[in-house]
Amino acid sequence: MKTNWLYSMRLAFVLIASVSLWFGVGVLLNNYQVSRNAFSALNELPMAQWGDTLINTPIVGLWLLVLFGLMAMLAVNTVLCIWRDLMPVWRQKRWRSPRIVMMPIHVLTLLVFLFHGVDLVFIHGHDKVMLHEGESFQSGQYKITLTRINYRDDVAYITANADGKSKLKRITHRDLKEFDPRHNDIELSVTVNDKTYHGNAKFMAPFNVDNLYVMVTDFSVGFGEESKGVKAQIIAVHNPIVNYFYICYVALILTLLFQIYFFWHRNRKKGTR
Amino acid sequence: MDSTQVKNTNPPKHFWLGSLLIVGLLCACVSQIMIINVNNVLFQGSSNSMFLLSSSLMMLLSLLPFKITDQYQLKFALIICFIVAVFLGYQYTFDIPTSNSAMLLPIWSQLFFLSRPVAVGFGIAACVGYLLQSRNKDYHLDNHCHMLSLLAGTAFLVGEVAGNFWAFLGWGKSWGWTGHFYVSALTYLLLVLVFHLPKAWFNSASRLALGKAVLLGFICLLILGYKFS
Repeated sequence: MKTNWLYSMRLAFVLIASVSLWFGVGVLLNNYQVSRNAFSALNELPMAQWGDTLINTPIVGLWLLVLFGLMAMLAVNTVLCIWRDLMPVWRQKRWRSPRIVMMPIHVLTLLVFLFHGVDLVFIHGHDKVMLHEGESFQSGQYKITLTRINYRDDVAYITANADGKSKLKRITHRDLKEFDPRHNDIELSVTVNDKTYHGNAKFMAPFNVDNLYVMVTDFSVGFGEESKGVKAQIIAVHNPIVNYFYICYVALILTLLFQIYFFWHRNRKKGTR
Repeated sequence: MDSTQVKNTNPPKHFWLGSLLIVGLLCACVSQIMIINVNNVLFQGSSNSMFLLSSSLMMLLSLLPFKITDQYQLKFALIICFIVAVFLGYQYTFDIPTSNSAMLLPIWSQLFFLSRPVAVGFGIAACVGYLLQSRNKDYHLDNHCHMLSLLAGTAFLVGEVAGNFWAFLGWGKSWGWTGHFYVSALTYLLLVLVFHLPKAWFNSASRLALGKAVLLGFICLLILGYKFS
């Protein structure tokens, strides 16, 4: 039986088009509150804990199943394409071929997919807490203590009313006059294996120890808690693959830029591809 | 050597008019970008005006390395200039943005916001080039459109990675199951699809060019629709 179709461009086209279409279906699903809530729940959990959410919203479960199936088929098609079509260009040392960069582009794309998968299965999920100065919490083997909050903007803006809401919009939509991330920070101490690390974290500037990233995502003063002062919303994430993930992405961009340069240079010399 | 390279001894009729138009529009774009940003503390990368201006600028820049050697290629440049003029006109219907949002502080968010109009600018230029080729094959223009499509895809990917990194620094998650993520993934995969159109399904080079033009046109309309809806 001929198996050429397994690594053919035609199958790649059908699969890429199908995955695109399926993401389009995902956009439609996301318009419904029930599905949106299910997707939000998945964002907070590693894959092993998705069971209940997917049983309660089978439509989201079916959508994910088909998506993973299509992605798996696309991955197989890409691996076979690399093996049968793109590797021979390297084995035959055709360094001037326009297809020479195709293999690194496809390999890096596969690696990026792989890291997304590892992230999804093992890493998605985090610890999220609201702390006042002096309070601490445990995240895995790390004990994180908030030693000090340096909030230098007007606290009246972030003080909650009886409904629990403050005058300010979402943190990313706040005016710099109301909230400037550059001069509001928290001081932290992180203890692990009898060793203590001290550092600062700002919004968009996490504090990092080993694989632990501690982010501050908001500041607020609770209703009737003015005497306790400002509290900070803190997220602790354990992500050992994040650096490799971005190295792959940067390498992919560099190979694409090399491909553009390669074509540009070749066109200037020969006038055709 | 193909025929288009032989006949590049004399510039085509109205060549200077075309060049003047490109330079004029380029000056209009750059000056408007300066007017918008000179009185703002932060670069207004996420605004509708900057989106249209950045797209226009990329469309014009995509013409600069392109040697206009005949009337056919001049037509390509003039169509791009017309689209840029429409974008510039539409841009004037928006108020000058004055956002001081904390969101605009990180370079990663600015890269994310700017990547979309850059991809649209290169995408529209490539789409117009492929559309013209569906009627008359021009190897020089074909190569140019291939590079513009690659640039559009790469620009979009750079924005995705920057946005991804921005989300990780801010919230500890590089991506999430959200509508925004699905639209981004959908758009990027469609850009990848431009390079995976099977030649065997198109019985001529002009049909293949038309297929690429339709796909690129759809991608640009998708990004523009998502931004301005």
